[in-house]
Amino acid sequence: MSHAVANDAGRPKTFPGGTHPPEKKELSKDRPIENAPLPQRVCIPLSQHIGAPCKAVVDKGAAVKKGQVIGEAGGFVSVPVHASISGTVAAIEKRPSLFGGLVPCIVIDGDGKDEWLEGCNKPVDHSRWDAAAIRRKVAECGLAGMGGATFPTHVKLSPPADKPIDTVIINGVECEPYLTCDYRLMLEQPKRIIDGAEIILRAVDCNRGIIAIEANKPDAYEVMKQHAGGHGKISVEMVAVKYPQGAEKQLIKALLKREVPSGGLPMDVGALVHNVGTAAAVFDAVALNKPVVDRVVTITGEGVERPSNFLVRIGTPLAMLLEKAGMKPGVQKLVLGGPMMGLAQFTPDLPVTKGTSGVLVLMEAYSGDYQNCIRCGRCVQSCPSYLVPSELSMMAEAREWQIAKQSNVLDCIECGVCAYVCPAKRPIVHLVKLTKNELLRIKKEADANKKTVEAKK
Amino acid sequence: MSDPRFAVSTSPHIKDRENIPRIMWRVNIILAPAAIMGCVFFGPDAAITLALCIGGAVGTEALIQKIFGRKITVGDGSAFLTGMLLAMVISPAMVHVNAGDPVVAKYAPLVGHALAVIFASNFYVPLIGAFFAIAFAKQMFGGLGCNIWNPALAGRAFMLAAYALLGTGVWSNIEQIKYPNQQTASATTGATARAEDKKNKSLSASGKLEATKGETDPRRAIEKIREETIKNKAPGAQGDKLKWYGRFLIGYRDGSLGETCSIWLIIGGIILIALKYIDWRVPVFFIGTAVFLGWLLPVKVLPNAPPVWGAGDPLFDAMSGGLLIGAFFMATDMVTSPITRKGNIIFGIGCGVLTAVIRLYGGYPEGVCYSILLMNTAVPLIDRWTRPRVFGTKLEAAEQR
Repeated sequence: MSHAVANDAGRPKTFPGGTHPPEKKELSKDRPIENAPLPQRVCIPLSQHIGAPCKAVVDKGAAVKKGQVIGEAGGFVSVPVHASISGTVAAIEKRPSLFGGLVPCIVIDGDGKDEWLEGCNKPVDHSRWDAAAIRRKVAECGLAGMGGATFPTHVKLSPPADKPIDTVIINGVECEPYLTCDYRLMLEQPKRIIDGAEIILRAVDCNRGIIAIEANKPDAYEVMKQHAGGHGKISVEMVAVKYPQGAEKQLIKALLKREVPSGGLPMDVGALVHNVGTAAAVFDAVALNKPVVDRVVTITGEGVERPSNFLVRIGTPLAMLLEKAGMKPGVQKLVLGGPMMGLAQFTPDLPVTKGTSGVLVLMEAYSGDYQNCIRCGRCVQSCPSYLVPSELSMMAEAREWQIAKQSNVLDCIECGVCAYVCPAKRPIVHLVKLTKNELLRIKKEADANKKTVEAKK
Repeated sequence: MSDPRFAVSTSPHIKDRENIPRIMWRVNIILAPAAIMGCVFFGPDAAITLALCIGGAVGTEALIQKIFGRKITVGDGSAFLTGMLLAMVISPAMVHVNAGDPVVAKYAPLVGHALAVIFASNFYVPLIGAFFAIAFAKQMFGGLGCNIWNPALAGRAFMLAAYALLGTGVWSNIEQIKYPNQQTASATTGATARAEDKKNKSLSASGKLEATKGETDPRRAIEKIREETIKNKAPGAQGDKLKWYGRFLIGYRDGSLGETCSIWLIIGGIILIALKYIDWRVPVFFIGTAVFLGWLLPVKVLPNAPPVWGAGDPLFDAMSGGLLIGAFFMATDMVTSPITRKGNIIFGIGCGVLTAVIRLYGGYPEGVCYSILLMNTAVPLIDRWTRPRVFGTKLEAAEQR
């Protein structure tokens, strides 16, 4: 591919490919984080993470305090959920989920007192904790990746012994347009992030941490550099402004020049990536015994009067945030996440969850008719996974799932760069998701058939 | 429960503002000055040819889409572009009606002078060429994006095959044109400089060219042949190399309607590269290879001397014939060129090699049209060969597919 990976002589590092959508950060980047009003009622989904859903451990009518476990983890790759306000469990029922279906939720009516569970939010001396103790605490406090992927953090902190980690990358890149929650966190609470990064380093027995920041955030870079200065193990590096610079594999390639193998994980190349918000939450969990009960959310877009960065309780109804930010008439799209990879919603009747980094209200829907691929090659030049997206889209249209699989459709990170640059406006990511679903369905059928055949023997 | 305000679709939810009509119409605008220069040099015949080809192309697309119940997409500018490109690579003399044409005299009393002139003008030839280009070389494959061959070049190739035998005079060489005021001394008035040059070389090789009779040094023979060509094709530039090349630069020369104005084709090409509508690799490797091989490859010019290497004329090769318009506007057509950058290099070199070989050793004086069509055929294979290595995989895995 064409773009050069930069040298150390000053030019910010980057990866080949990618594109430059308009940043739109100016809408909310200068709005300091403010506390969203305390919600009177929260709806806490029992699945806010990748992995097994939680099992409810409270009954309807039970009194709960803030920080109390209300759903226990469903397995190793799972994390518990906690009450984010104090009050009474009003219901345990299925409610709309951001993926379009329904998810079991615990609805809590607040008592207005906002009381912590006994023992929570108190300083803890963790200086003698070993890695296992850190991981246990992180799991207990319900941490999942705050960048949006919501992968259980303690699992990420448990690499097998044969895969040592030599570099932990703290991801402050925030390459999605519009979003500024990580930026504000770095500006306003750098110490929390750095202390959290240190704890992460201890948890994986690693001596080198890099905080990565995109070059469009020079002030955050300075602040983080100042605070990281004292710590010998943590450095701060600037990376080029490009989407998707913050994608895990591409960030590792840019900073360490290593490629995570196809189908593999960052630990296969000795690296680990955590979002800055997750690092701060790790500090809260280990040093203050604070489970995940809130997070910073950017509510922005041309469709709101007052784009803002709020500290929001998990389970807060979106409608309340939209009202606070002033949703304009004539809006056309409500997106959870950023504009490149976020999920469009058909209802605002949804709660804020651990992975809600942004709420984007758009005045234009940008969807509609598309044309044949004209083979212009823009997708091929920009794909950060070096695929041929035009071919993947055409194979999906022709329902040739196996050819798509041979063309590495499973390596697609669904970043959306191809569909963004396509002049024919082809819904390439959609077609790729369809292909992946079909391949999964075929595999499940094949496995089920195999089981039937074996059973008959 | 679902809020009717909100549209739901898969990410991404923002799109770059570049779209197909924007690209196509911008290319049309960038190409237009070269077509306009063609009208300046060749007169109303050129304008009529442009109108017929463009009208024919757009009309054919609209008609076919209507008949098959598809969405009519002529507004996207691609049929317009095909029509304009087709007009620019054929001779405007095709529709020329000489004063005193017997056909006009025959039909004028019956249907009036205007209609008689139209009858005599063979106006249907560009129309049929445009029809073939759009109907057979584009729509039949499935429309924009689905065709393998460049539609304008396919149309030109069709016309050359179908109408080569249509008679003498302007039809016998598709690149003929007559200047109203040009004084020419050659018996084969009407051939382009390339054709003239090739013919002279061939005559000289069998000892039949006056200018090189008795010459023993092949390199001096080539000089003399060049002088002979200049004498016949541009008498005002005899003895003045600068003037000769200057004419090729601005386009005051025999040739197809739009291929002559080198300076604008180069500027237009650079603009397209700057806008990232075309990959610079195609024109650079195409022109570079064609000119290099055109200079290098051996050509026999004397009956008693061996073929001479490295005696070509790079400037002449670059600016004559359809090389510039072919390299910048035809070979770079997105649909029919490779999708990878490495592939574009192979494609450009292939076109260059074929162009040089056809020009020097083939039956025609110009090879650009066929070289591009032949390389178009190889594009699916080139794309397969130059597949990028997937992130996180090893190189061997890519080559195995």
